[in-house]
Amino acid sequence: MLLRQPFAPDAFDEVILGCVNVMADEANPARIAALRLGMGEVTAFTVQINCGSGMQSIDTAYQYIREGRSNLILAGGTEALSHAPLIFRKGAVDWYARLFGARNLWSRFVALVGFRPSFLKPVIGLERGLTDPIVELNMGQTAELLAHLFNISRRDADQYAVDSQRRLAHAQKEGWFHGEIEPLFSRDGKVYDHDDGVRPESTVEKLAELKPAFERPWGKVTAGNSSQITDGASWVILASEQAVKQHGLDPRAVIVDSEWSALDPSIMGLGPVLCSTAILQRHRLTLDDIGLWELNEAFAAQVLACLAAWQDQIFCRDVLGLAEAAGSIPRDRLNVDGGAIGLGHPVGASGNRIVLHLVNAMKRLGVKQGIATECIGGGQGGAMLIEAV
Amino acid sequence: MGNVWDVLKPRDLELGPPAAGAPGPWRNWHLARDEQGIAWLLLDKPGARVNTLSEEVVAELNDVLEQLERELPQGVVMRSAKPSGFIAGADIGEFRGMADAAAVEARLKEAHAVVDRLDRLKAPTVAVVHGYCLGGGLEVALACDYRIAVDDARLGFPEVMLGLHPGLGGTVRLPRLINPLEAMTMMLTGRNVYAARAKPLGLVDAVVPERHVKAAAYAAVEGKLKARRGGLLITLVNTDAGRKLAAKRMRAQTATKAPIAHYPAPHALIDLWETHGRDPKAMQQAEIASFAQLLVGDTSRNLVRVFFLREKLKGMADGKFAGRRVHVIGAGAMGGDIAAWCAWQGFTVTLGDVKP
Repeated sequence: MLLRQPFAPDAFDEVILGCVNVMADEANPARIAALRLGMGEVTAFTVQINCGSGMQSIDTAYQYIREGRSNLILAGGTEALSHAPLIFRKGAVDWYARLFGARNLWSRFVALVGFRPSFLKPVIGLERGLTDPIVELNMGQTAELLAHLFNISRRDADQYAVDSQRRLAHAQKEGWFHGEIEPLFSRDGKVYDHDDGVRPESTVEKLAELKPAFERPWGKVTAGNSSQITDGASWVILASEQAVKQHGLDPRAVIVDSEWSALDPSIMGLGPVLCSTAILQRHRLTLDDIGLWELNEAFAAQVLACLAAWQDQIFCRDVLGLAEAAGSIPRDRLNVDGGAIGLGHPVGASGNRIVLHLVNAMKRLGVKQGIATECIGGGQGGAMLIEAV
Repeated sequence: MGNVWDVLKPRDLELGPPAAGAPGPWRNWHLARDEQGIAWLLLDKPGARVNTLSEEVVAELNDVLEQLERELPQGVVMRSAKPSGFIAGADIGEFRGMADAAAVEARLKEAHAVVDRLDRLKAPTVAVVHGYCLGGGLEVALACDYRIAVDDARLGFPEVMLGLHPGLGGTVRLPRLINPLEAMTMMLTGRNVYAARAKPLGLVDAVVPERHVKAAAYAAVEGKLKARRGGLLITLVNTDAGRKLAAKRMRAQTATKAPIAHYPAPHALIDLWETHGRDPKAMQQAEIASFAQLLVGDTSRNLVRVFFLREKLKGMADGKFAGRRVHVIGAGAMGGDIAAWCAWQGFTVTLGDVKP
C-alpha cells in the first residue's frame, strides 16, 4: 500500500494500530510496524478496545485530523491469534518462584518436591481472552443467549453461514478483493492469494451435522456458523484536506461520524444496534437510507439477533427510544461479500478490515452511504458512517 | 446492569407457548399445548412474589391433572412463571394454629392424592426448576418423571428447621431416587443443594442455562435424556440391614446436634426410614401420621412462630421501623455489633445473653 502512494513512508504524522493480544516481545506493535515499514521518526501507538481495536485506530486518527493536529495518519489493526500464549497455572508459577527463591540445597529440594503434574497443564490464553471475566460467559455463549432471546433457530444461523460462505467465494472469484487482500508467501515459496477459510461447498444440511461448539448438547452455535479464529492485519490511510491537496491524493471516501456504545457483557452481540442507531438518529437517517452495511460476523446468530432487534417493537421503543420498530436491513445490503465466517475474525484487525471493505464495496456498487459496525467482547459496539466521494 | 439487559431479561425465562386468548379456568395454573402436543403447565400464584404450595394451588392442580388425563398430551413440562424460582415450599401460614392432628392428617391425605396422581400420569412429566425449589416444591418435582435444573436452582428440604420433616411424600420418594444416605443428610440438615451438585447426586437429570430449557425438556419428553436411576448402592443401603446400620449412626450424629427432647423431628424421620424404608405405601401413611404429630407439637409451633417473627422483622427492612428501644438477644460478636450499631442510630439498647 505504501508503495502505491505518491509520498514517502516518512511523510506520516502518526501511526495508530489496533491490537488485542500484544505479544510479550513486541510491547508496542504500532511502533514496531512503523519501524519495519521504514517510516522512521514517526510517533506510533497501539489502541485496544477488544474486537473494536481496528476501528478504534481509524476513529482516533479521524479525531486527530479533525482537530487539526495531524494531516496524514496510518491506521490499522492486527492480530496473531495463532501466537496466543499458553499460560502456566498460578500454582505452577508459585512453584517456579519458590524454586528460584530457595537459597540453599535443602530448601531447593523441598521446593522441587512440591512439583505437581498438573502444573504442566497450561491455561489456553486464547480461551481465557475470549471469555468474559465479569459474566463468565465465553463469546460463543453470549451468541447462544442472543439466539434464545430473539428466537434464532439453528437452521437460520446455518443458512446465514452458508450464504456468507457463498458470497465470499463469489467475491473471491470475481476478484473483488484484488487490491484489498494481499497475497502472502510462505518460506518455501508457496503463494496464498486468498483466505482459505472459505467453504463454497457448504450446505445447510452439512452444517446441521456439526456439534455445538460451546454448549453441548443443545447449543445452536457451531464452528460452522461462527467466525473463524485467524491471523490478519489491515491498514488504511487517513488524510486531511490539506494533505490530499499537498500530495495530490485521490480519496475514496470520507468518514462522516463514529459512535461507540456499551451494554451488559452477556449480550455484547447487540452492540452494533446501539451505536449504529445513535449515528442514524444524529443524522436523521433511517435504516433504509444506508445503502450498504458491514456488520462484523462474529457469529451468525449474533448478526441475526441484531437484525431481529431492529425489527422488535419493544426493543426499539424501550432500548433505542424509537416510536416504532426501526425496520429491516435487506440481505442484499448487508455483508454483501461475506465476512468473518469465511474470512476469519482476527479480533484486532476486523474493525479496520470491515471499514476498508465497506469503502471498496460502496465504490464498486455505486453506493453513497454505508455503515461499518461490530460487536465488542466485554459488552460494547462500534460504528462508523462512511460517505463515498 | 444497564437498561438493555433489563428490557431483555424477562424474555430469558422459557415459558413455552403463550397461554393464548382468554385466561384459563384456574387462578394459579396456566396450561397451554405447543405445536408438538406437549403441555406446558405454569404456576404463577397471583399477587405473590414467590410461589407457595397453598391448599388452593394443590386443589387446582387436581383439576389440571384431571383435564390432562382426559386428553393425554405427548408430555408435560411443569415450571414456575415467577422469575424468583419454582416453589418455595408449602404455605406454612395455612397450618398455623392447627391443633388437631387428625384434621392435619385429613388435609395431608388430600394433598398426597394429588401428588400421587401427578406421579401416575401416563405421559412423561418434566419439572423445570429455577431458583428455589424447596419443601413441598421439591416434593412435587420428585413426583415428575424428570427434573431439569436451571443453573441457579437450589433444591432442598428445610422442614427440619421448622421442627418438621417432609410431609408430601418427600421422605418416601427421595431415598428411592438418590443414595439414601445423601437423601437423609439433605432432610436431616435442611441444607440446600445447588444445581451443579444436584446432577451428580441424581436429584436432577440435567443442569442447563435458561436458554436451553426448551431443548432439554423436549429431550426428556422424547426419552432422549439419559436419566440415572437406582443403582447397587441405593439398593444396598435400602435393605433392612443397611438401613439399620445407617440409622444407628444417624441417630448418634443427630443427637449431638439436636437432642431428641428438644428436636423430635430428625429422630422421627430416622425412625420412619428405618422402619418403613422398604415399603413405600406404609412409609407414606407413616409419614403423614408423623408429620401431623410434629406439626401440632410444641417444637414445631415455636419454630414456626420464630419463622414468622423473623419474616415480620424482615418486612420492616424498608425503613419504616418506628420503635425506640432495641433488645438484642445474644451478646456475642454479632449481637454486640448489632447493639452497637443500634446505639449509634440513637436507639435505647439492652443486651441479653445466657452467660452474662
